[in-house]
Amino acid sequence: MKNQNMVLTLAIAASVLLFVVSIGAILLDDCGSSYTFTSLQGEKVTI
Amino acid sequence: MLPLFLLALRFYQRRHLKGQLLLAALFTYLAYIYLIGLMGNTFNGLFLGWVALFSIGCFGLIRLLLEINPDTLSQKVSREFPRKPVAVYMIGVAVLLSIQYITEIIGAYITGRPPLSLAHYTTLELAGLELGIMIPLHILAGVLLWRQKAWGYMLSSVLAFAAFMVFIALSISLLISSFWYGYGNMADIAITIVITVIAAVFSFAIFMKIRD
Repeated sequence: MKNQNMVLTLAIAASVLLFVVSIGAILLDDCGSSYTFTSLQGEKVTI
Repeated sequence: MLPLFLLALRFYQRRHLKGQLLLAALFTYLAYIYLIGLMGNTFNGLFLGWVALFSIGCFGLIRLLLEINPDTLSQKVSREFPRKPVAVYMIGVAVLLSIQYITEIIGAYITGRPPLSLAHYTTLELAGLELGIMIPLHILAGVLLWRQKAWGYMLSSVLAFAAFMVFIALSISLLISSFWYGYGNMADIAITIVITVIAAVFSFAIFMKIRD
């Protein structure tokens, strides 16, 4: 029973997270394939 | 994936073996796809989400494998379970993937040029994971199933469902890329859809032949 509850919790967490990540991918438009950060030299870098 | 999760949860709550197998396949899918995602894609805002999905997939799969008794599974499959066709399918998938990746890698060794699929990546991460994990698992599943071993039923069921999910996700992604962004070619899309249909037929056949 304890094991079943753990599996259920993980499955529900996965479903919620999948939904959030899917919405995140749509919002990022390009499926999150670019990211802009400041390099150690102070430059803006997009990868 | 979400409708499949809901279906699996429904079966699982009723303590059906089909629910356990479907959930195990979904966790396998998450662990494998998001391992590829977090290792192969450029760092971005979704990175932590991918790490969490990979982790949930790994731990969920471990918990479920501890729960499912392979001997019970082999007793619960009906006599009409397509054992030999599924075993051949497992070996066939392994052989096709091996040919695809080995040809590419050996070709790169011989010509001294990086393989085309390397593109902007630093290594053939997907090929490494397929050759190191998925191909040996498919061969093992095929051989054990052919020999009617309990673990053969277990491995082949989980791998067949997981492959179906991977190919259906890949087909949808190729179709979206092609029709919305104009990427890819129709031959690749057609081959992927054919493989998806084959994977779906085997998954459905396995699902229907488990007596719960």
